[in-house]
Amino acid sequence: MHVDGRFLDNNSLIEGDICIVGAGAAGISMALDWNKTPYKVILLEGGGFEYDPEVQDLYKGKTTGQPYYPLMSARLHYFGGTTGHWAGWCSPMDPIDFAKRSWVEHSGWAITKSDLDPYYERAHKKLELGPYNYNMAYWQKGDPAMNPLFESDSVVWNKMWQFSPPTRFGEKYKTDIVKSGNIHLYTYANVVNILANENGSAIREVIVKNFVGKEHKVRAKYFILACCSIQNARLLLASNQQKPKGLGNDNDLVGRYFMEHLEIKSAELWLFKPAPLKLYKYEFGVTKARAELAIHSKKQEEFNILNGTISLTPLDIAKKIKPAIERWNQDDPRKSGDRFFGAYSRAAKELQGSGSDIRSYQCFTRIEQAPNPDSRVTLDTEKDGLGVPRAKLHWELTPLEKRSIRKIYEILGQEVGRAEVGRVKLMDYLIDKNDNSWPSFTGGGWHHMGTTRMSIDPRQGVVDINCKVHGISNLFIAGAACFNTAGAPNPTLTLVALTLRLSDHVKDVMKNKT
Amino acid sequence: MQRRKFIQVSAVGTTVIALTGISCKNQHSAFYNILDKPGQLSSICDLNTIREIGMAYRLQTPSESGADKLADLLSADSVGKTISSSSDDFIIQNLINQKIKQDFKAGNTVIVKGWVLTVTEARQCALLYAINQ
Repeated sequence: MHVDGRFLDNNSLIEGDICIVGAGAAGISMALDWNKTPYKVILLEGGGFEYDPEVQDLYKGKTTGQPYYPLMSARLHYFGGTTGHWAGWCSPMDPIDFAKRSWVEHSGWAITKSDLDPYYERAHKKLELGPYNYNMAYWQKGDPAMNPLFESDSVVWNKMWQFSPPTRFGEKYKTDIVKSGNIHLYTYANVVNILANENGSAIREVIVKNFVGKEHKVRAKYFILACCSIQNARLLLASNQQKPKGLGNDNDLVGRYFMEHLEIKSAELWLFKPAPLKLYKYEFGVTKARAELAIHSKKQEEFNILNGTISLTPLDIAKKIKPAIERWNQDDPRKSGDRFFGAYSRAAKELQGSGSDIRSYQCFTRIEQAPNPDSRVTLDTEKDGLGVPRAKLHWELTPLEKRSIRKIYEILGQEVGRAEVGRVKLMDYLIDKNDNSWPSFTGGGWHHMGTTRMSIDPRQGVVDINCKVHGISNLFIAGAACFNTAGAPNPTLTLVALTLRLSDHVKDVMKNKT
Repeated sequence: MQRRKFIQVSAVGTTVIALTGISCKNQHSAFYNILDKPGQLSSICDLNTIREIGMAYRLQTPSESGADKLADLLSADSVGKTISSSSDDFIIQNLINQKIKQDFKAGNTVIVKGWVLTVTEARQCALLYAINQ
């Protein structure tokens, strides 16, 4: 069922078994997992079913450090969340992404990839992906023209991706949620405060507000924050009535280790013979699977570098596309989106007919950033329209990211040369080994991760192995905020998988209680 | 570099030796003109780019800045034997290509002007620059 929080009587009390805060990919995935169960699920969404500028403005915030996109347009604040305009790129993390790596400080998850594998499979269904199979040979069977750049994969391998239609959660799952007998969706119900008991060991209720001046209370046995990494941290830090430093923040970890993927053009690949490289080709809404080039984990260890992938775009087209950081520069996500989406197809259209004998490609890097406690979300002194301090993001990179990118292309260059298919040319910003600065076109993937990282040790992480906030018996975090490292691929598939794992855990807890 | 050598030698007034230098250049020029052709690289880079790579390599590797030095290094084949200047052009080119393959296998690469090249290719570019500057 659906209730618009603006039309409830002021000071209403809403009660349920579990309360999920946020109706994006994580929140909706979790809620659906409880559909048709005997439990009453309260799903809170700050916005409505459509874009609302007043609600979107709640995401406005300041950024410092490495230049970043306007926070207001980096997420969508209505039912369905940022799936309202995501591109649908999915690939699971690699086993090394979960491992403790001596050369990456603060790396290592409390879980492994095999812990997530069954949930990846379930997440595939939510995201309308193909089978949970990322073996290149499997996809080549369907299209033998998907040939790799070179055969050897002991140094550089082909990491497969699948593409969601992309699933717009707001459209796809609205009916399921609204018609559900046990999921109670409240729109225009912005959580502005989380209230714990006196000693802060359990959550009592959350306070929701909206712009018609109404305020309600929501009580539940269990609370799940699923508002994305920045907003989860903001809400915990701002909920400081019982705990002056904020909830779950006894060890000053909430908001720290904010991570993004660096997304940046890095090199050119020049082939001796023209090749369409279909295995690496991507067309929005058409491509079901493709590969990106990645460095084998043993080589990452040998060279002490981070994990990342290389995508290939015909150079003529790539040169016509402005960097994302220049295009996505408006507070209004619709305006930024207009400048951003479709740039590739517009460029390709301009160059129509020149695509048959491609000999040069731009190599574009997507790479994890090293976990960094100083890359963090804090509260600003300025408050939003509902009285909550705005988020302040300090995005900070380390020299390891740049060294890793440089090394990745040195390795690729060697492999391309060894295979006698061509040569690789690094971009100027990568040439000087002693230069740790970043060029103006450095961007991110709008992938917000970290801020409430997972650890069995409360001094090292905000949540435990089950995504429960340390020291608070009934508060859980869903989504990429719990990531310890960013991994190589986009986070959506992993965050949905992790959320489904959390969902199973909360069900177990509920069962054991009864 | 040949020219520089000539001037240096002339400066001490040993005309005979200087003339020998010119003679040596003439004798070697055909051989150098095979060595300074980075075959595969030429298929993706224009002459100007190859010259720029050559100039950059000379700057970052001053110990290899002379044409003769570069030619000597290029003449050593992949198993350490010397490629004879009197060999057939095709054989010389083939031996150089083997050297490039061997360099890639051994990780004997260098980044010059952003290009990930074998040391052999970089030396070829540098030789081209040296004898055409």
